[in-house]
Amino acid sequence: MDAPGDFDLICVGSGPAGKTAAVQAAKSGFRAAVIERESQVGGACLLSGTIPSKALREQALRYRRMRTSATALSVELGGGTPLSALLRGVDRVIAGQDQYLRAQLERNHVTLVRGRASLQSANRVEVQRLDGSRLELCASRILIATGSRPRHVPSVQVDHEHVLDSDSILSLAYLPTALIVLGSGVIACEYASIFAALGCEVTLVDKAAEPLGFLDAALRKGFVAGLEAMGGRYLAGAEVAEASFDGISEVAVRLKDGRLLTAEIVLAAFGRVANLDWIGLDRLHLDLNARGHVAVNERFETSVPGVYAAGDAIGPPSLACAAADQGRRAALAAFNLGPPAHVDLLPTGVYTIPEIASVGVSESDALRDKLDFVLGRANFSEVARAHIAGEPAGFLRLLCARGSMRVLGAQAIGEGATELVHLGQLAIAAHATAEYFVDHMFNFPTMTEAYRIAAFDCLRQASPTPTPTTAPEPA
Amino acid sequence: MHVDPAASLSSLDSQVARDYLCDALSVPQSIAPMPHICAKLAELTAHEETDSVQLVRLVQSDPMVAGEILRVANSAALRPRNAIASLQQAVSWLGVATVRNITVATVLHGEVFSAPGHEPECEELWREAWLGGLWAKEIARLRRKHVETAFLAGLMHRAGAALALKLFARFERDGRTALDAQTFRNLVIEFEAPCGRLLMSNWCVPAEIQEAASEWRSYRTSREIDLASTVNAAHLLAQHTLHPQLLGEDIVLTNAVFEQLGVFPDERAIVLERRDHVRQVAGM
Repeated sequence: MDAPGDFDLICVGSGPAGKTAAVQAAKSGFRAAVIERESQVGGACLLSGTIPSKALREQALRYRRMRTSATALSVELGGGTPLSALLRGVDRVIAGQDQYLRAQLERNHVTLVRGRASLQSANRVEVQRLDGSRLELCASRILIATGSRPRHVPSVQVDHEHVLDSDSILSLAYLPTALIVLGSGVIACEYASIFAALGCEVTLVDKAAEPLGFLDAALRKGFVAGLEAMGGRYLAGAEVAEASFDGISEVAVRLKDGRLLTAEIVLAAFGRVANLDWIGLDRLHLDLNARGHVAVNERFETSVPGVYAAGDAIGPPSLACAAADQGRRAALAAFNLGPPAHVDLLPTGVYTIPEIASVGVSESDALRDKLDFVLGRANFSEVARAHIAGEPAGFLRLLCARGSMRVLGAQAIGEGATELVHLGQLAIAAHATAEYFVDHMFNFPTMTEAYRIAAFDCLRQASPTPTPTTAPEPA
Repeated sequence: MHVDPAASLSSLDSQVARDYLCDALSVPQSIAPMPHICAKLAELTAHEETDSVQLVRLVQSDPMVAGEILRVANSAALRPRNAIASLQQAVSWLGVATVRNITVATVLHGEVFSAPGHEPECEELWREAWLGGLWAKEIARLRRKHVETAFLAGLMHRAGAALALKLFARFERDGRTALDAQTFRNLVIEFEAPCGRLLMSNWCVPAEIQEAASEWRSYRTSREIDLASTVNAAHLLAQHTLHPQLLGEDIVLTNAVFEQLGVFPDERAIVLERRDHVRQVAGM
């Protein structure tokens, strides 16, 4: 075994949480190291999840637009189209990001060690390298940022060839003619809509009455309508008893009510589990929560003093932006540097087709908490830019407190929703009111016009008399 | 490899053989065109409305393919309760994807891995190809990516060598001479990659598979480094399966290609545990 190295912080994993924590520690003058088992840095976010799936989504969007915008330009993808052709360029994106992240680590003097980490104690990590040799590293603080992988269930035999998970689906050789997606969460819905947009016959199957249960009903219905418009369908109340390749040509999905579904390819999307197999949980007696994630306190410290955890390893929301924020906060807490101001305004972006985003107080939150509110709505069909872009479906909603008209929440469904919602996020953070969107000028034509329309709708609902404004109504 | 010392060529003559192959490769369509049955099958399977009657009519046109489909449909692993007697039943039972794979493999075996006078070498290459496909699939499954692509790339990885061998055999026949074993072997290795590319291009094999299946020896510099590394490792495992005395488990498990693939030593052992399964599927 090689001689041990000494660091102030060792981050196990180079995804958004691990990388950000290490850089934060280094910027604060501490010696930091990142241990990564893959050849590229960035974690599942960069290598198998967020980035590649969004690249495929972009291709699906282009294809859908070409198919629907002009018959003279129409193209058809059939079952059997190489999926690699649709993912061309993703490798360059990954390589570029890898290069950028490496440079960032190097610039900040963060040591990058390749290998598989196993915690021997609260300040000692053994790294197994690919050639089988081992290296021991020591640090006063350790951050577990090992990320997650797709969750498998015993009744669904994932073989990565006919029954795939959200990692292996991106290496499918050919675009299938028919696809069954098991699950109704974010990943299931994203892939269901992407493949439907690519012309596959998609059936989304889950026991839930509606997909994306954590969203407001209007957004859920908007998603289902979008899926159906592309030829897909959602099969509700369908609990899977078993799914496996028949050894010949089809995957059979048997439901608990006896129904049998078949398709060429099945995607099992049952959420994700934390990557903790190698970390040495038993040795450390780390506490896990009921879902099998590492339990942490508000400082992201685990049950073992000096050992921190962040990102997917600690469970939901399992978003890259949240993981990076957690990593930063964990590093600051670990060195008693005083955390930044607490911000609980976490935007949610669902990269389905159509795209969905939400921030702040939702309609269901407001109803549950019995808030006195108004909900203004702008249909994208009223927004000039949406027509120009050929994406007139969708809407934006602005939730404001009746009386003060303070913006409390914003939601959007339709193309550009995940970008659009950030303006609502700023309005909430700045304690802006609906009048802000009426009194200020925005470029025209832009999707921002939707905020103005929704704001007018809020003001109209809040006022018994015609809206008293000095600004003209939008065209 | 077949040797006839009396008719061995000088280095000058081996240049003649090399020129012969370069000439052949300059007219790509003439040496390894996509077989009619594969082209027609690709056309049929691209259309959703294709029915099994059309498929049956097509596979019936090639007795080798028809026989193989019936054999596979009645094999112990796939046979339904009652034996399948007709091609119509077999096609319906196996489904389009399986029929397509059987057809490609059968045609590949019959048309490419066959060179009169070099039957043992062709058979050896075919076994390497077949085992390469199966092992590539196992490696890809462990890594949770490219399972289907890996199989095709593995299956195709000796096609270039087989085609080169076939062309040099034709050179021997046309020139009524024989290349010495070492020259023959060297020439096959030299022309393996260009022959593989030509064949796969003619057969409309996806670009990434063409690259990986022809550049697997130099995987570090391949544009498809991941898939080419998978094929390289699969080749190693195929050779180990065929000749365990010559290529021991220790040598296989410590090969640097697994480091390139990011497969740790204990994971390599897990792959190797699939040996019996692979041998069984390969019919060994």
